[in-house]
Amino acid sequence: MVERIVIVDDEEGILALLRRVLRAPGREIEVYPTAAIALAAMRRVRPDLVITDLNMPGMTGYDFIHAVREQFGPRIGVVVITAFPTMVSDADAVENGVGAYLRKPFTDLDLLRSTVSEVIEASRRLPDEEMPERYRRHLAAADTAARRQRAGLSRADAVLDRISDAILIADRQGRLLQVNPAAARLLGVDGEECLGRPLRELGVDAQLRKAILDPAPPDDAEHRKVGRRVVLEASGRTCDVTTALLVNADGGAAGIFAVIEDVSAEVRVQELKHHYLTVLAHELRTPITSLTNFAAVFEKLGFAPMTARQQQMVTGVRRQVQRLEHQVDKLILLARLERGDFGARSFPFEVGPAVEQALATCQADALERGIAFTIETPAGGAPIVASGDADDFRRALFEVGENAVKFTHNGGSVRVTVETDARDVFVRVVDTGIGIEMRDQATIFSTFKQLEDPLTRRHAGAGLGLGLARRMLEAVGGRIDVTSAPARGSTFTLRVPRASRPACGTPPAAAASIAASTAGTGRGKPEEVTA
Amino acid sequence: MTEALRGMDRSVLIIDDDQWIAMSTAMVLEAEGFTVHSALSGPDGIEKARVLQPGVILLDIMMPGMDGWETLERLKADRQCSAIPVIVFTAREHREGPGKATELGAVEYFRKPFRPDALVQTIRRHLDAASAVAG
Repeated sequence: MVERIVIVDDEEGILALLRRVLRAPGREIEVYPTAAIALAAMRRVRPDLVITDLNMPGMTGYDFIHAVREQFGPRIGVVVITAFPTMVSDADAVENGVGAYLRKPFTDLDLLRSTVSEVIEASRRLPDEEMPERYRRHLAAADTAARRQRAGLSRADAVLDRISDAILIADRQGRLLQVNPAAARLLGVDGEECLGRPLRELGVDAQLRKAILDPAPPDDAEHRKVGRRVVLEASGRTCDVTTALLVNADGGAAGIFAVIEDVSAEVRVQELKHHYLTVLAHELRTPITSLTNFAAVFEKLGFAPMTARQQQMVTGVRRQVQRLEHQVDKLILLARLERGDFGARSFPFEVGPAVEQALATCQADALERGIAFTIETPAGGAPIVASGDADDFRRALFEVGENAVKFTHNGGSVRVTVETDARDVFVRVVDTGIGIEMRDQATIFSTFKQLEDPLTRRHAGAGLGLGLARRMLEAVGGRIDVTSAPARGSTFTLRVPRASRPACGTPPAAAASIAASTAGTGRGKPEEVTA
Repeated sequence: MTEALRGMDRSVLIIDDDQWIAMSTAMVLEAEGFTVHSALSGPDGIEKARVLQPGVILLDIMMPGMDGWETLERLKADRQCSAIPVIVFTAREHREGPGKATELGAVEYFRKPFRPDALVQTIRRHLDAASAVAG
């Protein structure tokens, strides 16, 4: 026996979805955009079941049900599609001749199918009789309630339609239940054709599909909030996918709600910013190099015997250029930090010269302020060789040294020692400065904390440096620690792993910021110098 | 030109398209008693290296046309120039820079800006090493 189902809804998407979902052998499904057309068709062929929306222009769903009962009696099953599940209880519904209410948006397509079958079965068992008066009253009351809520629903739909973020709902099997126009565009699907079909079948990007259907584990609080970043293979666009589980009344997972934001433009801006920063750094370094050179020659030769004042000016030029250089370095470090770019270059390097180079400027600053600044390296023995990025090590130590001098009173002292054990090299910077409160000791290394809140941070000048220092050291398997007591001073300990092989190429001494002296090739190796 | 002759040479060839860098670096080196030649491009540099046979070459990486890497490769492939120590210096952050410099046969990798005295020391060291080999 053929089952006939008539579906009435003014939303084409819903019609398409229901037609696809309910399709079955031995079943004929007809869909109509208005109740009046459906009624006319039903007079030709009597269906077993009607599924109708309530909110429709022209004849409403309740008028339609009313007419169905008047004209065809109770033996046609009726299923109502509603977005307002609280309006009528299920018990009322059955008593009053509505077999079931289907709640929009549909989250469980299997439930939808089984409900429809059950209502058809139940209505077949009913005797033919007149529609009770009570049912008439029920329909009228529900109709009024529906009209009142209609305005609210259309506002929500309008928002969904116009919002630029892609929003979709899928069931647990990954079948699309609802997509807004932005989502349809992004997924490259037809907004109505796609409903009820699995994402896989629709040719949705594999990464995107995964991000929607396999949300990050719930215990990962940060990811749950941020969602997942996906680069679409075909278009190259970058999308942030945020998902939330839809939960049934009984607490079970009903489906997935996903918001997909196309962040390609932001990503591009980030890349441009990074590129600009890199180019800017290059552009700045080039003139700084010439200025440094000129100042050095001037300081060394002058043109005639220089007066003390002239000498002072030349030294001033050199020192200020140096300051500029440190700021440029900081810019570059920031760019690298942004990219998580620390620790990429790891070579054996000699610690002694690196320490002296790193601290040369700090030492000069200390001298000017009457602070005793001493560096103690183990006398004699083989050179201490560490493994890491020599540039970054020097930079980290410079930040610590600069910090020590900055927070030490005039006349105080900063003492730097280099020690080793079997595995590591320890560089300690001990100052007699203002010290750090216990509660601040943990946070002085957190770069972003300081970046976020520059006005309220306690160590005004410490800024970014120590955080950068920690990142740079940790990237090569080292670390940095502090012990301190307020008003008694601080001890910063930098630890870097010792190298298993010797450093090639002796790093030039007394240079605060020259590049990593890399492994030499053949010529120029220190052993050849002495050979 | 033999190793011995070239090894005695205290001259430096600077290959850098930025004439201010070239000029100022030349002044630093001349103040230290070196003879300095400059070239403002890779091809010009290779030509001058062949003719002048400097003791050391200072080579910039970021140059229009033939960049420093290509210049370095050509210098190392050239029988007349391959033995001259090349010190690479660059203002650009190259993550792979030091490794690449070594791989292509440079003896040092300097980042600009450099400490003039550090550069001087390094050049001396390589010139001394060359004399030691030659002598």
